[in-house]
Amino acid sequence: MEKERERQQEKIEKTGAVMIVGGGVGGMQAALDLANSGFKVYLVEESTAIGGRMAQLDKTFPTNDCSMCTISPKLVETGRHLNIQLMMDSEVMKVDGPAGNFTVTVRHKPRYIDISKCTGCSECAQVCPIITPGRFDEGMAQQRAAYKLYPQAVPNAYAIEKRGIPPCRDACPTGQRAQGYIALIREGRYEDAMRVIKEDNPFPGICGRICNHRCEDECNRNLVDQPLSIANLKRFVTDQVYKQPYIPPDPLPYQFGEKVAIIGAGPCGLTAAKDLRKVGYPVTIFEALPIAGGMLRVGVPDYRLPPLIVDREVREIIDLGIDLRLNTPVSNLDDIMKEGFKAVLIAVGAHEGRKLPIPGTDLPEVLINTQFLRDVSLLSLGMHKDPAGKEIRDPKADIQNRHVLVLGGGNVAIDCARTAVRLGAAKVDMACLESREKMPAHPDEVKEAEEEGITVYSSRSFKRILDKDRHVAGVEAVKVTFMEFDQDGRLNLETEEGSEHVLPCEVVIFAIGQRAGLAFIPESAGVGVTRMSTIAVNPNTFAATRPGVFAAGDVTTGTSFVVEAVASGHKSAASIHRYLRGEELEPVPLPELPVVKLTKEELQERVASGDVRVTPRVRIEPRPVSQRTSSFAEVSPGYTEEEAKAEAARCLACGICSECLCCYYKCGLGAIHHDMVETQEEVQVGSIILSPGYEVYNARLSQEYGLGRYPNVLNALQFERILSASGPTMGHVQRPSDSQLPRKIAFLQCVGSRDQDHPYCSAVCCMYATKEAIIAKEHEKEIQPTIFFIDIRAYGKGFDAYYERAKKEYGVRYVRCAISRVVEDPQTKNLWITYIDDAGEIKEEEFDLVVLSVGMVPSASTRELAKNVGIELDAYGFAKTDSLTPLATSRPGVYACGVFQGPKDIPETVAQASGAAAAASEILSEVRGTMVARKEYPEQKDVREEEPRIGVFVCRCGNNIGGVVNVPGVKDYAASLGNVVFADENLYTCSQDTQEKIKKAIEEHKLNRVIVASCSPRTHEPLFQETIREAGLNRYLFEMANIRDQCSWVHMHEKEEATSKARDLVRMAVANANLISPLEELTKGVIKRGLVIGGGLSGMTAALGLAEQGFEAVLVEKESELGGNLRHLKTTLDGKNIPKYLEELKAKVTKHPRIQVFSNAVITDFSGYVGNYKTNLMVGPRMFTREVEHGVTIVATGGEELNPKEYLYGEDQRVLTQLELEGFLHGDGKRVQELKEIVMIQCVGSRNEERPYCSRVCCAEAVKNALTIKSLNPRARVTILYRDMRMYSMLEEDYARARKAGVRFLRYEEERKPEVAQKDGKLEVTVYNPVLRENLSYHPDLLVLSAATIPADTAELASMLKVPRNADGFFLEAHMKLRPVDFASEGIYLCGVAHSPKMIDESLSQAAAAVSRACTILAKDQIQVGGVVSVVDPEKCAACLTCVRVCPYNVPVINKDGVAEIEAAMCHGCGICASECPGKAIKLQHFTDEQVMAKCDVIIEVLSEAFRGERV
Amino acid sequence: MKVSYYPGCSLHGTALEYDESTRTVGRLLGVELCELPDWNCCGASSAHVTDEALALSLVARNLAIAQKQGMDVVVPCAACYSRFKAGEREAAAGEGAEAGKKLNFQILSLLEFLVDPGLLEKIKGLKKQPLTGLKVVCYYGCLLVRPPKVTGARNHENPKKMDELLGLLGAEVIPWSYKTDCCGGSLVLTRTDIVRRLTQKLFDKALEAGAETIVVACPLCQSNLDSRQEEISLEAGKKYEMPVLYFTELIGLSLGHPDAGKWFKRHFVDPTKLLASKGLI
Repeated sequence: MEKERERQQEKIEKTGAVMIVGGGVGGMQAALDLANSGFKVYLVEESTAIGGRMAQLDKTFPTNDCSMCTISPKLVETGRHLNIQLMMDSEVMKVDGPAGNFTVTVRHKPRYIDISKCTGCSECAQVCPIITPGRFDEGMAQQRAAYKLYPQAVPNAYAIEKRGIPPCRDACPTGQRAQGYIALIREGRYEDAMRVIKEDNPFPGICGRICNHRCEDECNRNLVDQPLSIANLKRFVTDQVYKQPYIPPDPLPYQFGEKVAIIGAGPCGLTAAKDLRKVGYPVTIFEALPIAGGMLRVGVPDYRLPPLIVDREVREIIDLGIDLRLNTPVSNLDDIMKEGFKAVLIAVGAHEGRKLPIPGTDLPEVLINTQFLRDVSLLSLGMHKDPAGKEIRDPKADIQNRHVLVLGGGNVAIDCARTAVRLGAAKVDMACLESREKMPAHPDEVKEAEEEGITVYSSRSFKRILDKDRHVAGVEAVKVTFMEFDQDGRLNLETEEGSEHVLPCEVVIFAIGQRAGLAFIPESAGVGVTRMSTIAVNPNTFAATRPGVFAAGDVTTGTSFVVEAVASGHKSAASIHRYLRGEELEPVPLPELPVVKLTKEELQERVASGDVRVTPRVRIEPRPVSQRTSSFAEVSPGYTEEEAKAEAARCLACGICSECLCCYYKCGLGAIHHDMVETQEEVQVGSIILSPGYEVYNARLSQEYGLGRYPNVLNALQFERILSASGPTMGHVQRPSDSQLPRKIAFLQCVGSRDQDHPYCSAVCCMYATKEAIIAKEHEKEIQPTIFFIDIRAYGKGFDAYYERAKKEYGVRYVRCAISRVVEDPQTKNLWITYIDDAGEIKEEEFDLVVLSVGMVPSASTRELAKNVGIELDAYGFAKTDSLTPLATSRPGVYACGVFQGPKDIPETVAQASGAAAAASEILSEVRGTMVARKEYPEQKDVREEEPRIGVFVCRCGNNIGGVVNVPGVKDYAASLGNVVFADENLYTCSQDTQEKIKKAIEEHKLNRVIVASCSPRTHEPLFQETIREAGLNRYLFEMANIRDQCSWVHMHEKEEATSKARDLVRMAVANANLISPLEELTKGVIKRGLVIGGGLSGMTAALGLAEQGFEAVLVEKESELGGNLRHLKTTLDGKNIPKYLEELKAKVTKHPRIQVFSNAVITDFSGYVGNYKTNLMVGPRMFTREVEHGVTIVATGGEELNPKEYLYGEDQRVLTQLELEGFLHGDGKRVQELKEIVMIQCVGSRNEERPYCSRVCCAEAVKNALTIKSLNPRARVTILYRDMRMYSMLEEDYARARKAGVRFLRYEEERKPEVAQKDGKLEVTVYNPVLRENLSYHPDLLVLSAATIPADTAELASMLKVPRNADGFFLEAHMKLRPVDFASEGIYLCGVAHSPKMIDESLSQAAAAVSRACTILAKDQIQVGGVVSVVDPEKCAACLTCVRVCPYNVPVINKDGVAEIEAAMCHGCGICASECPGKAIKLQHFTDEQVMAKCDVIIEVLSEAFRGERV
Repeated sequence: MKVSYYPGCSLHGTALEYDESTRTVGRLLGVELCELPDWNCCGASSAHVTDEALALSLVARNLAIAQKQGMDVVVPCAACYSRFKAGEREAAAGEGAEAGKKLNFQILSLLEFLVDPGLLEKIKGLKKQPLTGLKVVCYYGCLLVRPPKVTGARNHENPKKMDELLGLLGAEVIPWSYKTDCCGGSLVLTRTDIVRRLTQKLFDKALEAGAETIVVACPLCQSNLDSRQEEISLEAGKKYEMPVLYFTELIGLSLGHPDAGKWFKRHFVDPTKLLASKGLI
């Protein structure tokens, strides 16, 4: 079976690529290791930027380094690595195939900004009106919908956040982007708001007044208070914009020749005309009336819609270049077709009013709604003839001083009634079929009508109009008990018998509906008409039954609202365009975002968190009735500016991005694509690493602490952001309720950790709380932090010292008490905490701020990921791994690292990530290098003999520089400087096309030096260096002037001075460029062999790892036997058999063809540099000397258990160490059965003055042994005396298991250690219990000491390797956070206990990490050395040793000629030696004294020019 | 709408006004409260601390009667409610033949019942007199929402239902941190010293928050808080005189029921002065 599987495995064609999911610090580390060791990497990240949680942190423990400064170079390196392909905004959907050759389906979510075009200039965000709580600042600062996650984000590209379609937009037939223009109103940008409205609707002024605003009905704000007053806000915009004089638009150019005719200049026809004209068709509108606007102009009374508004909005359309023919009724459709129109749109509306078929409608005082309103309008315009050419009879004459009854209950009926009031009727009433609730008119309108004295008789049916001498004498009506229109529009009516009564009146106006006049369409026209007297059309295409004829608006639907007409105008225009272009007439459905329907719960939460305030809408008081009824002046005065902004601020921004398109118009690079859609892609990879990270526990679920309810309770990540200089308070420690300095801050530990739902320890909170307390104190001395804790778990390297420093140097108070709740003082918003103090007293204490040390939890998306990838998770959602294979998941070929594998801190994540990289590449070693790209460059031009010919490129960076600095001026100035032969300016110098431009300029102008005046070399120098190298110039012939970060940004308001400074900076760059010279990089070979020092678990694992990666390994062990400490261990906490594992490992190592083991071996000499080391050994009992040449070195010298000097150890044989106990427990089972009482003492030889560090493993070792005792002999009493139980991460579960098994844990205090004595032949242990406050005594059969772990004696080795150790004798890594297994000297690595005490799984991960790091060297055939390095002039060297002493990397040596020598391969180019050298014998290339002086000279010149008054 | 109603002993005795206001509000909202026939003690007073089997048997009998009626049971007293819910849980999880038995009805506290969206809508529609200007803190006490495993309450540390209801009635609901603190109700006879300390703290905190009255949904909390103020005043040398109202009384008042005034007369601390000052009676 096994063999069969192996054979199958061999058959698989492997892929030399790895996918990494999660772009945090772990993902980046794994990506860089793999890409640097010959594999193609796909880095999949679900958010818009890599960097993960570490980017959010302020400082890191225990060194207090700035987190962003530490991670930033990694971000940049990952972002620009040739063989790392970033897949942003992406998720893994599916993994098919076997390990070695997976097919991964990746989903790319739309970002709406093209990363390849975006230069990160920020202009989109500057114009974006939408504000949301920014995620990066944990909701404490605002962010725009167009955003970059954080300033240093990689990729340096913006993204647009969309949640979906806001319900207001969804409800509107035209898809009006209400949320967008509302946001712009809030910002006071009315012209922009107008533009946004007009994207969807050419009639803002009209719809702002008379729309039935369904948007407001759907507004999510309905759930908490009242909907936004969207219509009034829209009207407000037009009020603002139309205050400005009208400037006609430029007529649009024609794109197409086909002429389009539109019949009817109403809202539908005009909308279609505008759209078609914009596309480029010649458009003619035929209008029967003497004026355009349709119903809007002659159907809506002026008091609701002032005619000036209609005129202006119509004119704006006509002025685009549309042929409008007024007074031109179309009598026959065929005439138009004959005129050469290729398409006709019928949009004549529904202008014919109707009367009921009842007796008396022929009386002279019986009027019809549409005619009545039209006549009033036309007469007010001074027009006296109706479209048919008939003289208009003034309705005023019929109405004045008469009693008017309007029949109908819709908006038109209300219009008629209120118009009648204004025309001077004696009394106006309305009567309608519908009940009061079901009246189709808008309730507000009915209310206003009633205010104006109109009586509404609802639920009436009309029998006849009473005739008295051929004059109207009232209407006979009956009461309606039931009414309903059936599906076909037929009316079902029930009336009350005997309820006949007369509604008195002298004039009747019918307002019961309108229909189209279709006389111009004879049956022969071939255009079908429906039974309801509308034109039959396909509802999707608006095509009528005759080809080329389209119809839209009321003429197809019957009377409807303006927005409906506008919407059908848009759609029919689009359809006509498709028709004329010969395309498929049916529109192609576009993928749509979901509609954002908020839930009440979500909104209540937003209210609770202060993000949303409950405020009713800003009301507009209509003008008083007395003013209203006497004229046709507009009833509503509209919003004032202040009111409108206040109302606009109520918007919830449901969709987040509103698609207002401000960014689209602003972006100078065409990078914005609002119609981007989700895509899927299949990617071939050999293995997969999952490092999706974690979320912080949502402490709102622990309601007792009041997060989200009390403003001054924060979670630790929020507090981290407050401490950060780039955070919401710019690093000022302020509490949210009043922005005051919180003097007393309480940190509550274990929130969302070590509880019933999270029975694990989050591993980092004790340290980060300590760090936050220290940093807060460093910010403001007055702050008094208190940390409430259960155990302080300072188990990592240097952590205990840090904790002690926090207590002693910073005065951080630690109180051992778990806090059950926080209460708030309602006045001060201070917080009260109840706890038990050292003396056992209950204390209540007031704090200004409470920080919850929230734990780590896997996110919902990681569960989804695990499901998609097909790996198992543990009960909490972390990846399932075991202690002997900590990196492997349940699916072969898929590896896990970081917090996804279990809670851990940054260095462990980084180490594990490197380890996972090693595991992922081990199975792919034979396809290493098969998928990586290698860049080919043209031959380098030799410019050394040439005079400098400098090209200067000045960048505008959109507005970032261009808006402040006079860029053309700087460019001209640059051109005037000596040796500058070419100067140019660019909108964005870093954009792709500009790179081509620069290359061309180099060619054309024979440039041999290039200067870019733009942003920071930190991010952009490599890009430009690459560009000039591609043009054949040496990389070092490049120079940069930072005129953005250090000029335009900091002098934003001093434009003149900024321009002057920019000129000076360019002048300095030119002075330098004159002196720069090409630098040569040397190529050296790499010996593909690694030396591993130490044959314990870590060393064997590392040697095996190297060998499996395809490299030779030499393993050096000082003892005669391999195995180290592992030889004394029997099981792991999760029950793995260690002796068996050790035997297998040893066999693998000794039998491996690529591993050579030297036991009984000592290192006697060590020399060389990365890639080329030489080590001398003395081997075996007979001390043969051996010489090994190797490319890398891994130090795995381990450590051992201390021999205790206290508690009668060595004096009484019943006193054992834990390792001795483990041997005993796995020895004679009988003796274990005899045990009655066992006492263990923790921290023996650790956490004291001599060894101030925590030995980390002893708590777990004690628990393991205690559990073993309990399993072998359940009646034995086991008591563990401890100071803090440091059962971090998943060990917490074992701690709980031990308690459950009956193991007793008793705390002792450092000041009162247990005392051990022999009494009457018995052991007596006495210990003071701080909880009971009394002494307890035990008489154990065995006393077990958890003795410290001490490092091996490595003093001599360290000095030979020239690598540092810390005060405790453990080796010191290059960087505590990000380079946990590297030494500062390249090519030397460390792992295992040599680094610090650690558990088996941690040693395994670290050993794999060291292999991974080593492979980045071994995978190369050659390494490039030199460039920016120090060189020694031997003539000047006095061998004073200054350089030898100051070099942080121990590079300079005094060579056999007696002068200093600096190996280029080892030099980091920091320049310390060059600046310190008293004889000026050392020069740092590319930063020579001459260059620096030349720049300084410019400054002096500038100053003296200023002094002489030659400058502004 | 018809539901079963379990008034418990308090509502037939010390908390008569709670019973009356509940029945009145029920009538106004068109809810028929059908008192469980021949109901017995819920077991909250002494049975549950002395004999678990007895305590559960008492509940079981009530549940069996309710099962026969087959309608949701509304329980106004928090202590009774807690026992009923404990009984339900036992029925679902317990041992023997009855194990796993699911009740065919729901057990609802009166508060839970009245904040049903349909009834809230009705209350909104019938509201005649908004409680404008009345500054209240809502006090849920211990048993109405806790233990969450028994009550199934989501916001057991910061319940909001009564706050929302009173907000809807127009009162100014003040958030405070003591909604679910213990009032000492179960120690009223044995350890009055502790009770005085606990109730005084509640009054102090309510005053600090700026409340004029404490609104409750439990007859034990009400009587304990209402009757204890004189004693505390004597001990503290400071006058405590804060009306403690049932939430049903305020609903009735807001819906404009003419009997509302009568209920208030049964309180130790007379709320009429306060309510009159707000123009509510």
